[in-house]
Amino acid sequence: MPSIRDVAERAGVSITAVSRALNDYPDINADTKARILRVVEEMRYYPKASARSLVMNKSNIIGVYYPTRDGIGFQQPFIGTMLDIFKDEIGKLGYDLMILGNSTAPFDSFSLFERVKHREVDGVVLLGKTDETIKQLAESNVPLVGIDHFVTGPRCGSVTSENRRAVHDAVERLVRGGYQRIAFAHGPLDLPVAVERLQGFYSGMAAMGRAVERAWVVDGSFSLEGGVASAKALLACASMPDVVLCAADITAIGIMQEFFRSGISIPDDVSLVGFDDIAAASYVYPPLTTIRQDVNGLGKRAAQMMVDLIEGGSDAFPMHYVLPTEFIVRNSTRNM
Amino acid sequence: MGITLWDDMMKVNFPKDFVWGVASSSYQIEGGVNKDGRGSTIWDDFCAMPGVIADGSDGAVACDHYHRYREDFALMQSMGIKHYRFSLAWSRLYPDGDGELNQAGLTFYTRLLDALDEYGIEPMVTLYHWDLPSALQARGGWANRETAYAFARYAKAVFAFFGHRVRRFITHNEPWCTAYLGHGIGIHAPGIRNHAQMLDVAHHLMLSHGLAVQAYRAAGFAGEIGITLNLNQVYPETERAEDILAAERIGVFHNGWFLDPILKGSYSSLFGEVFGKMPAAIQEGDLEVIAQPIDFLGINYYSYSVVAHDENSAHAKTRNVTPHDRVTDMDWPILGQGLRDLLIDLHQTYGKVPLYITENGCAQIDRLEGDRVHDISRINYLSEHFAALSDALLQGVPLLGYYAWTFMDNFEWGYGYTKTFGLVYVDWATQTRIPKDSAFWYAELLRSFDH
Repeated sequence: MPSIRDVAERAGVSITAVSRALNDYPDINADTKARILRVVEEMRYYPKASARSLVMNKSNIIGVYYPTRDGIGFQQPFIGTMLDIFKDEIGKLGYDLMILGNSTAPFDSFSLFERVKHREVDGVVLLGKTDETIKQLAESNVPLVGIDHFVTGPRCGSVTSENRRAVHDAVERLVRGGYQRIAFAHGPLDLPVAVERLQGFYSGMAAMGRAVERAWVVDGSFSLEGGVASAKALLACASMPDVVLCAADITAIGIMQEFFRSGISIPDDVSLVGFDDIAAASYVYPPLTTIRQDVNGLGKRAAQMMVDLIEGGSDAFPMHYVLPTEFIVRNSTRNM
Repeated sequence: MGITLWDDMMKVNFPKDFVWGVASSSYQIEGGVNKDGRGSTIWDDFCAMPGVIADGSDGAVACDHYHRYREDFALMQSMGIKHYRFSLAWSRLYPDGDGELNQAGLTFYTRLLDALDEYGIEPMVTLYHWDLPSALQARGGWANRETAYAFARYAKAVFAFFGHRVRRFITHNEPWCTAYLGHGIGIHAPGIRNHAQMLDVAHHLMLSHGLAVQAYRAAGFAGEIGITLNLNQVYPETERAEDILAAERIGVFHNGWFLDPILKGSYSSLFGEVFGKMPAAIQEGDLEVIAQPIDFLGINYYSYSVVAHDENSAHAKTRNVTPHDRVTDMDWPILGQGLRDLLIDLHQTYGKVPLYITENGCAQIDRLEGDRVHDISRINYLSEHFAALSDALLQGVPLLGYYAWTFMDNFEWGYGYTKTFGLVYVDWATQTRIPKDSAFWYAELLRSFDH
C-alpha cells in the first residue's frame, strides 16, 4: 500500500501538507489541497483513523422517528416542511439524518430503543404520535427531542407551538368579530397537540361565556377525508354554525370542498379558519384564514436543542420551548 | 471510550451461510509427541531449553487430544459447533519433514477427519502452525530456501491425501510470529536472534506459501486455500504527519510485511526504513510466486496499537502510546472497534479478497468454582468483537466466517500452561473438560443463528 510519503512525493508537497489536506485543516491553499486529494484518489491511498476517532464515539447522525401508518407520512405538508427545515439547520451543525422505519421484519421483536442503540445515532427526533415504544427511549440517556410533541425524560427536550393559547385566542377573536355559532373540527385525540387545541376551544368558549354545541364538535382527523366527513356531519345538523374552526388546514380544505359541492358559500354562509398555515392555505379559493405555526422556529429550535442535548452530555437539562403563533386573516372569514 | 457490545439484532447483518467455529493447533493440544512415529519438532527442542517456557512445561501431553479427539468433537457437537480449524503436525506425516511418509501419521489424521464427519463438523486445515520438523531445522530451517520447497512437497502430499474431503486449507499460521518471535527476538522456537535471518525467514515462509498455493491449483481441487496472518490495528496518536508516518511504519512492521507481498506482489516502500534493509533472500520471480491469488485471507486479531513519532526511539522512531486501561491477561489492550477498523481498512486497501477471522479471543484468569468457570470478561471481549464483525459486514466487508481462539485451554507457547484462552476449561490433573460460561454463551449464540 502507498505511504503518506508516496502521496507527498507524487503531489510534490510535504507530508505535512498531505496530512493537512486529509484532515481538512484550514491552513492550506485550496488548489494545493485539490491536487493532493486527486493524488490520494489516484494512488488509492486510504488514510487510517487516528486515535482521536477512538475516543469521540460519535456518528453525527440523528434518527428521525415518525410512526405513521396512515399512508400519508412525510407528505403531511406541515411535517414535511418542518423536517426539511430541521434537516437544513442540523446539517449546518454537522449532522445527517437517518429515518427509522416503522417496526417491520426483521426488526419486529426489537424495541425502538434497541434499534436506536444498534444504529448508533447520536440522538432521536420524534414527530407525530407518541406510543409505548418511546417510553423506554425517553427514560434512557439517548438525547431525544419531540417536535410538536411533549416528551419528558433525563435527556429529553421538546418544541411545540402554544396550541391551547392559539385556539383560545382565535375563539375570542371570532366572538369579538361577531361570530355567534362556532364549530370546532378537532384532530385525532391520541395526539397531544390535537387535545391541546380542543382544550383551547373549550377554554376560549368558556372565557367568552358561550355554550359549546355538542353536535358542532366534529372529528377532522388532521386529514382531507376528515374535513369532508366533518362537513357532512355539520350539514346533517338541525342548524349550521356560522364559522368552523379547524385544528388543521388540511381539514379546513376538506370542509371547503364538501361545502362547495353542497352549494354553501364561504365566507357568506359559513366561515372557515384553519391551523398550521401550510402552503396550500393561500392557494385555495377563497384563501384560508388560519393560525400560523412558526414552522421555521420549530425546526431551528429543535435542531439547536438536539445539539445542546448531545454536546452538553450529562450537563444538559431537559427543556421545553413553546413558540407563539400568529392569526393570519385571509378571505375565508368575513370582516372582523 | 464507547464500547459497543453484541446485541441480538446485529444478527440481521450476518449472511445465512456465515461460518462460526473454533480453532486450535497441533502442538498446543495433541500431546502424544512420541506416538506412532511422530518426528521431533522445533517446539519439542525449544521447550527442552532451560528457562524459555514460563512454567518449564512443554506440549508432550498438552490436552492429550491425540487420544481424546473423539470426546472433544462430541463436546463441540453438543455446543452446536459445526466448523473447526486445526493444524496438521508435519512431523506426524513426514517425521524428517521430507522423504518417507509415516503411514501411522496418515492413519491418525484420516481417522480424525472421519470422526469430524461423524460429528457433523467441517474442517479447516492449517498446514503449518509452527511445529517444523527438527530434521529440517538442522539443515537451516526457514532460513534455508530448501525448506520452502520441502514445505511445498509436504503440502502437495496433504492435498493428495485430503484435498477431496477438506474444503478449506490454510498454508501458514502467523508467519510474522515464526519470523519475528522465532528469529528476531527468539522467544519462540527455534529461539534465534538474528535480524537478517529474520527477514530471510519471512521471505521463505511467503515463498513456501506461494508454492503451496500453486500446488493446490495444479491439483485442481474445488475448495479454497489461503493464509492466516496475525494483524494489529495501528492508529496514529494524532493527525500530525509525523505520527501518521510513524503509524504507517508500525503498520508495515505488524501487517504490511506480509500483506503487501502476498496481496500486492511487492514489499512496502517503507520496508527499508522499518527494517534497515531488504531481505537478502529475494530472488527473481519470487514475488510473483508469493502473490498467487488466494481464495481468502485468514485474520487473527487480538489487539491494537496507538503510536507516536519519537526521534529518539530505536524501534522505527516510534513510541507505543496504546492505552492500557482495558487489557487481557496477556496484557494486550482490548479494542473491539479495532477489529472493525482493521477489516474495513483491509477491504479498502487490498480489495475484494474474502476474509475469515481465523482466530480471536483472549486470555483471562479462569477460576473453577464448583463445576463452573464464570469468565464474564471473556464473554464481554467476544461480545465487543462480534459487534465489530456486525459493523464491518454492514459496511460491505466480504467476511465469510469467524473461528474463536480457542476451543479449550492448551499449551500457550512461551507461557506454558499459565495463560488460558479456551472456551472450555481443562483440569490438567484429570484432563476433564469443563465448558466455561463463555462456551455456553457462544453455544447459545450459535443456536440462535440456526433459527
